[in-house]
Amino acid sequence: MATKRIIVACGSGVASSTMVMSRLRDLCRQRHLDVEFEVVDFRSLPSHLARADIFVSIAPHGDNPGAHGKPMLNGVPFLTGIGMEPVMDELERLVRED
Amino acid sequence: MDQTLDVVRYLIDLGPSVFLPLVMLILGLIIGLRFTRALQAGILLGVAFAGVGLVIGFIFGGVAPAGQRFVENTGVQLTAFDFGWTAAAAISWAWPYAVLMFPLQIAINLVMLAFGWTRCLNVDMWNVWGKIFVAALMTYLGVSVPVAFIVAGLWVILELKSADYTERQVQHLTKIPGISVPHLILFDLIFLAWVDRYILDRIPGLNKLKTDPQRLRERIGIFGENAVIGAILGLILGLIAFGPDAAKVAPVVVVAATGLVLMPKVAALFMEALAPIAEQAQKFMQSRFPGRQVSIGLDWPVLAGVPALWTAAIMLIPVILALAVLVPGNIVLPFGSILLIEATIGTVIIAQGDLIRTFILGALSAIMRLFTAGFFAVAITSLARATGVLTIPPEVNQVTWLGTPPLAWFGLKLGQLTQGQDLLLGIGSLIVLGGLIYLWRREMLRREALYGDESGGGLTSGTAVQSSVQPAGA
Repeated sequence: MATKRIIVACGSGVASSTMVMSRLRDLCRQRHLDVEFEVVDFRSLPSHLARADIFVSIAPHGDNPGAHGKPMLNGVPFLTGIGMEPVMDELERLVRED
Repeated sequence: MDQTLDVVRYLIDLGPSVFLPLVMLILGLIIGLRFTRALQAGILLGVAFAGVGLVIGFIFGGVAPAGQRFVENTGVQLTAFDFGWTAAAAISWAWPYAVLMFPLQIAINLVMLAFGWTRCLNVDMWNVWGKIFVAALMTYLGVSVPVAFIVAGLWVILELKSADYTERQVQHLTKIPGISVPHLILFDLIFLAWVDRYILDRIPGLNKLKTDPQRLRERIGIFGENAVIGAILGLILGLIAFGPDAAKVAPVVVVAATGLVLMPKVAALFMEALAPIAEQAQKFMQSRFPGRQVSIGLDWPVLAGVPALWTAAIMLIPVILALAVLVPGNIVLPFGSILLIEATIGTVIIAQGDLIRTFILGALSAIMRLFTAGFFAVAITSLARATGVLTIPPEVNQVTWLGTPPLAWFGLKLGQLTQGQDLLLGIGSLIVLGGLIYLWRREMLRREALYGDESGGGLTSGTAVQSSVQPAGA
């Protein structure tokens, strides 16, 4: 099982995405998941998605350019701190498959 | 006592990249982080300050000479260099009283929730810097530190009310239930909600103009990326400064692109350092309101999926450059905040995603911000120098942030009035602000009523909601 690359996108690739990444990193460590992270802003997302395995978006219902083909997870629970577990279960499933 | 003060002064004099990591370490231990985690956060904070100083210094070195030549060649006195929000945030965090803004914001929020004066539980501990920024600026314009904190407290209240007044509109636009956006960027609506209602609504045909911001945005493609925006900006600046001299223009292009790419990267280190504290603060606040109906206040990027926000901001780039040269009295040379999302984040909410309206209102916001950034350039320069985060070379006359919120001017007048200074202008501006707030509140409540309670009354904090996984592109 190779390291899975998770890309987190927000407005500027600074605050929200880093907050989400920080929480995800802790939770992934607890579950012993082999992952690495990258935070980007929405505008440069299309250029970065090609190298990613999983895309975590904090605007999950809006326009997520070029998400085609990559599984997208809802990043909002990692901002609100509410409802993180189901998303983590889905993430774990995605990371551990194949 | 004197010895203690001497030690503190000695530490402060070592600069923010040494002093604040220590503060962070101690703060981390106080809120119950493990020592290693607190130490890590502290070191990362030091890295963030040093990193911002490094990148800004690099930008100054490459771009400032071109800016100087630009002024000499055109005669347009753009003497205040816009160093962007990331640098503004860095010098705010380095303000000696910065850390006190956390308990102030949390306390006001909890009190207002307890009395039912707001529905918003603001868990966004990042944008505390915005209040720090405004308070710090006022202290460089003759306002005392306690009065600056009183004004900052009013900002906290206004942010929460602003979140309440846009809650349903934001949820309708983002389709995320149970959230709101308590962000001072939304204060633009205090100035612009009535323009939308009483001017734009009366322009015949405006509503019939239909655009597809999504498609436009796809067409913009790489021209929306920081590297490309920076390169084009560097090219324009370089050509005006040095003419068609490739040997001189090319380095400006590269430095400008590098600057716009690296600034967010180093600024993200601030959030990485802050994340454990933000998480603890969030847990603390949410534990105080278990099972209560609240909206969770988040940072603005939850709106980032609205295409008009970006398309309008990118379309505004040439407009802002033109305005910078044409608006009489402007001294701001737009650079770091050339992609002025501050002008489109609030406006895209009242425009409900409509591109033309976002663009028009965004242009008005940009004009207000040019004046505000020019007005506060002296104070921002003083703050930047005093904190020692960055070294301002002689070619750079002043630094400023183009995104400085226009309401800051009213905040300053209020602060000065509290101290008995500038009475006439203070009272006058307060009356104007009162009128604007009255119009804003009425208009925003009218709009909120248009959108039903789509979230079913908001989140019950502590329960699991909103965890759907969607296929890509849904």
